[in-house]
Amino acid sequence: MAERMTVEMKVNGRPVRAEVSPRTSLADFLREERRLTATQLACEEGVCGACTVSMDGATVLSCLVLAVQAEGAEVWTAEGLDGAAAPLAEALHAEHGIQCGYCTPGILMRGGELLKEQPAPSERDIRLGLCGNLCRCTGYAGIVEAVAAAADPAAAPGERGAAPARREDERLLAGRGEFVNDVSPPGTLHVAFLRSTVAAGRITRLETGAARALEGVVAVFTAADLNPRAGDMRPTPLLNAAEPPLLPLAADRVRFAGEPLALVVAGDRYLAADAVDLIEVEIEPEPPVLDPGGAVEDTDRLVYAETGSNLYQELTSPIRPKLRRALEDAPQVVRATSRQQRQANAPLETRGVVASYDPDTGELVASLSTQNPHEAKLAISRVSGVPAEQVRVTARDVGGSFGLKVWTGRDELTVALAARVLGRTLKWIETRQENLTASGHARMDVGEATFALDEQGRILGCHLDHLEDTGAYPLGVVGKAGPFVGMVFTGPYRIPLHAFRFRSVRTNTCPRGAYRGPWAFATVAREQMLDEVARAVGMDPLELRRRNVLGPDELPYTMPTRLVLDHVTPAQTLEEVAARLDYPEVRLRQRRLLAEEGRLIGVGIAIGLEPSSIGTMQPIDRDTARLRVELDGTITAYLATGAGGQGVETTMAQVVAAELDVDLDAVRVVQGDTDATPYGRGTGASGTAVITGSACRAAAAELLTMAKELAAEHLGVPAERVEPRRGVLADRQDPGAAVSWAELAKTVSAHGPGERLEALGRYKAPPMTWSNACHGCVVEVDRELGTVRIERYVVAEDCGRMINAKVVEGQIAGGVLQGIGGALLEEVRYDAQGRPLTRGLAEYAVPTTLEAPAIEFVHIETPSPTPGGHKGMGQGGAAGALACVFNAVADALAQVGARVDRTPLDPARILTAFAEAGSRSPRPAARPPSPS
Amino acid sequence: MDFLRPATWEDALAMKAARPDATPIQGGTDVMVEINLDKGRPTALLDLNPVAELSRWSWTAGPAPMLRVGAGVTYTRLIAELGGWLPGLAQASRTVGSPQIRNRGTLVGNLGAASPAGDGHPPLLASGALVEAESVRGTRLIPIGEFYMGVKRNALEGDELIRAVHVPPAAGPQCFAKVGTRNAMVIAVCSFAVALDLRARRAGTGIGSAAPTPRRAHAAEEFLAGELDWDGAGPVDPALARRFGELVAEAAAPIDDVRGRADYRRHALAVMARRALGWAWAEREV
Ligand SMILES: Cc1cc2nc3c(=O)[nH]c(=O)nc-3n(C[C@H](O)[C@H](O)[C@H](O)COP(=O)(O)OP(=O)(O)OC[C@H]3O[C@@H](n4cnc5c(N)ncnc54)[C@H](O)[C@@H]3O)c2cc1C
Ligand code: FES
Ligand code: FES
Repeated sequence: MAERMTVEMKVNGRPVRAEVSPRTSLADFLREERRLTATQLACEEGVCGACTVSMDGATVLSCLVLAVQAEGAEVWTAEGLDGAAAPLAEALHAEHGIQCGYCTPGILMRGGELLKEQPAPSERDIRLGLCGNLCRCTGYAGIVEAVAAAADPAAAPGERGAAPARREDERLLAGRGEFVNDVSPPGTLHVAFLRSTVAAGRITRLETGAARALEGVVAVFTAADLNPRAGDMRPTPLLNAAEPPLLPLAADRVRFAGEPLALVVAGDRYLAADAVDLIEVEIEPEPPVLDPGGAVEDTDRLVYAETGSNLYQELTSPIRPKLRRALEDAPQVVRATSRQQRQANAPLETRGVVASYDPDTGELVASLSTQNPHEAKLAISRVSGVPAEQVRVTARDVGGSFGLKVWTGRDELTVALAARVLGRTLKWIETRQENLTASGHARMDVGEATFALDEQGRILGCHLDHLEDTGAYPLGVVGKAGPFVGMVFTGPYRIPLHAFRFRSVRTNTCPRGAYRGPWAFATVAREQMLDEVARAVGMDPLELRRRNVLGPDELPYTMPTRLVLDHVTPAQTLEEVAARLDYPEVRLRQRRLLAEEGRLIGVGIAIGLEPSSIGTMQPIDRDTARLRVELDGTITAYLATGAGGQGVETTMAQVVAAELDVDLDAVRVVQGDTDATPYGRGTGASGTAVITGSACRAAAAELLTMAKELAAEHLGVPAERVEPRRGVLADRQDPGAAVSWAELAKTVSAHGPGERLEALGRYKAPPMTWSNACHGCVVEVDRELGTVRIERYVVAEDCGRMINAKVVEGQIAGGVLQGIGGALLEEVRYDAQGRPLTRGLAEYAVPTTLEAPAIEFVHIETPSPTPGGHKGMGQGGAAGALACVFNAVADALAQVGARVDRTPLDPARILTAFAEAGSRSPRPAARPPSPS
Repeated sequence: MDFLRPATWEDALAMKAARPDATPIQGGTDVMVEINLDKGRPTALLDLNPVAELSRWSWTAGPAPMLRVGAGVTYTRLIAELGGWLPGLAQASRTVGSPQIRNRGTLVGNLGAASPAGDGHPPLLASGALVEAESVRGTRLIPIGEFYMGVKRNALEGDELIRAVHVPPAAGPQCFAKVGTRNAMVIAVCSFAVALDLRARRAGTGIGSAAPTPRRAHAAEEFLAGELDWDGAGPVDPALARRFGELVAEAAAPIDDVRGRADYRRHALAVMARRALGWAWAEREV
């Protein structure tokens, strides 16, 4: 390494002089040497914009500038903006332009520059100006609105009664969010993994001598060092599954390109990466299993030889005679296929862990990017052998996750184990390449279905054959979620007969994990196929849905799989969307534009049903909350959640404040610390509002019972007469008589200095809390280039009582954009040898501001039969959009006889569909139904 | 990795002569990505940012003055300051990366990288630019058509640096078109530029991302020079525009890669060329 150089610059107005290695990027200099951690790194290839800073008056990407290049420069970071960015910061806060906050400092920097260049930007200007700042959470809606509002406060939609601004924002806007990469205790060592570049094969040589000899390298671990010391690495729900064991590092075989082979510990991350390059590895490649379809039958090539088959799970529900007859003899029988490509969660913050083990106390402390701190604690304890009582997991801010971080990954657990072995503090921050090739993939599903209909287009029955690619091994409970797709396939429709076959297979690819609606395929496949059915029977897809969707008077409705559907509004949301889109008018315009200008417009509709807050899946079916009254009368809520942008610190405070009738500002939420919070489910599976919210309610009820009794004593009235009222406990009959929460807290603390008024609340969810939504959109397809432009996007949704309308809309908008990405752009790809081709955010194309449509919302609030009347809604947006956008494009294509049955609908696929259609024949007129 | 920081152009040339292995770095939007992704760390970096004169542009002398765009002129400044004279190049520059990339990235960096997908190349080819290369041995002007030697290879010698690019001001409407996998921050799947010279009644073309190097579509240019009704009013004859598109596509030699398939590239080029001609011609009328 070349010697260090002196650099002088001004950072946030202050002169700075430092010695740096010429290799140090400006981002690392700011983060590591100056401890200015607002500036984030999410790709290090110039794509994400999270590292945006201002240098000599222009924004630059600090990952692409060397610290030595900033010689003499004036550099500003989000920490230095203070008042300067105030209007934009305030607007981001007011418009909910922030979720996880990982992108926020970059947005502040670039947004500020944009407003300086264009004081009155149009919406298009804003989108163009922010196209280099990726946000995976918000769908950009709140961000674009915030910039517009900052430019012209009069244009701001203004805060709505039901949507208080988020409490998380203040620290995130000031650059004081604490993500795992911001945690750097003194003496931290850095970890890098050596990973297989081969999909399947036998390791014949692994020589670590040169890496160990590199100056600054502390340790190099291989399978021989760590595997014998590791406990069970599987997540809690899979502990008893009969599975080949999962071990920290590949020992003799590799099963996917990206699988970890060795782990290097060194003084800094550049050194660790250099040492990884010095490890010599030879793998004798074997032909990989890549195609899930072929893998089922293949007994020669096996991902795990000892299993005898690549089939991982199979579940068949019997086709009863009535259904068989319908599928054979119904007046109309239609077969349809739907294929989803491999996708990646790609949260802006990758995975990461900082783990320290103190041999003297026997304690292991881990900061983790996780949705589920308590599960992480249990898993770390199992793997490292440190008793659970001596493991503490913390996670303050999580930069997005979408299911990826719900079960603690093999890599994080391996690092924790290595920390235990070394007795040191180890830090591993996943690179974007690792994130896209080795963290988890999702959505690799194929569905083939048969629908039987009568002459009027009423569905008599259906059968789904569902094949899921589980990768080298399943992460978390996804393997169990698979059959769920078949269970809920008939969704919000009156389909009396249904059966399914579910199979999942192992392949030599990155493991399959949870991604925003692990059972989204039920909605995606069904809604895509219904449009195919509509085309086949010559009926408008809206009309087909109208004839089959369940109306309000048909509820509760028992699905053929015996699940009971109730408190949902599919028919209403369908009509809302049809009305908002002005459906008949769109159809007329579509025909006119084709006839007169040859343009291809398409309209798509999809009804989604989200089985949220599932109460049948331990341990995520229940939660616990603890409430404590502090001496100053404020309330602290201790929750097991691990929120990554869902605004849990805000919404749960709202719930508690409402139950206790105290000011929102009097409630503080503490989460993300297993020492402070009771055991619980974490944040995931659209369960927070219903399950955690109900636990908060239960705790509040318990607290009130205690408080009423204390207050009754104080006031000298019976407890039944006491009620909480605007921040105090008051006598119902004498409005003047009241006692404050602070006084009650003091009364209790009189029993002993540590005594507090506190209560624990528990809640176990009912089997299913359904929420529903209907999505509608209009697209135009460029007939010659195959590109797709979304003209309009409407969502009518029913998530029960909304706690915070803007949090709801933010969740939906973020989900919709991920769905649009999945429908049009995003695809994880491998070459024929199973080597990953999409290794960065340049190749794995997540949507920018320019692909994000403005979304129009309609809210219907039908309470669920749970304590707050809420329903989960974190995941449905993605499923709805995947199907809705697909349907719109397929609808456009059908006018010229072109067909598609798989995503992503990229230009080449669309043009191929045109070519296969051959003739540019106009859309076939509605044919009279005929048996096929 | 050594870091060399010349203060003047002469210093830079001397350092490059002494260290031909040194990689010049301007905006760093290509160089730094390679370093970060460990696609080979250079033994030395030669930072040209301190050489202040490189960030200036001027007019060349002579009967047909050209714009001399210094190696340090960023895309952002090129768009703002030179867009009036170089509309095709400015249009292409607007599609490069994102505002942050354009604040730092340069046209000369695009030439240094010589990626077949670089967006600067088609408009430079279409307008017949010259690359001003210099070393301690002297200066030479390389016609743009002779500059690209292969995938990510250009005509520079080991001791040479690019000081500027000379670009003729537009002599008629120009147009740039690009398709990518998304609308921003995307390397072109393929791109095309056309520049009409209304006085000389010629058209220049440039194709990007559809051959090992950026290239002109000579046959398409000759076809336009001969067949286009240069005095005609109204839109271009659709048949002529289609033929032009076909000739452009025929000039390409695309491959399959992670961004796109060869057949899609060829097809899209024909469409883009036809449309770009139509748009450029329409601009002439207003
Ligand atoms: C996220 C992202 C998006 C991008 N999008 C686009 C895009 O849409 N279109 C596009 O065309 N490009 C794109 N690029 C690539 C890059 O931004 C361009 O190629 C840019 O023009 C490079 O300019 P630079 O000044 O940053 O070059 P640098 O990275 O500094 O240098 C690039 C090359 O030129 C050499 N070089 C630099 N200066 C000289 C000189 N004076 N003499 C000789 N050699 C020199 C360097 O050694 C290096 O080989 C993108 C890059 C990123 C990171
Ligand atoms: S980390 Fe710099 S742009 Fe992504
Ligand atoms: S809020 Fe933008 S990435 Fe999470």
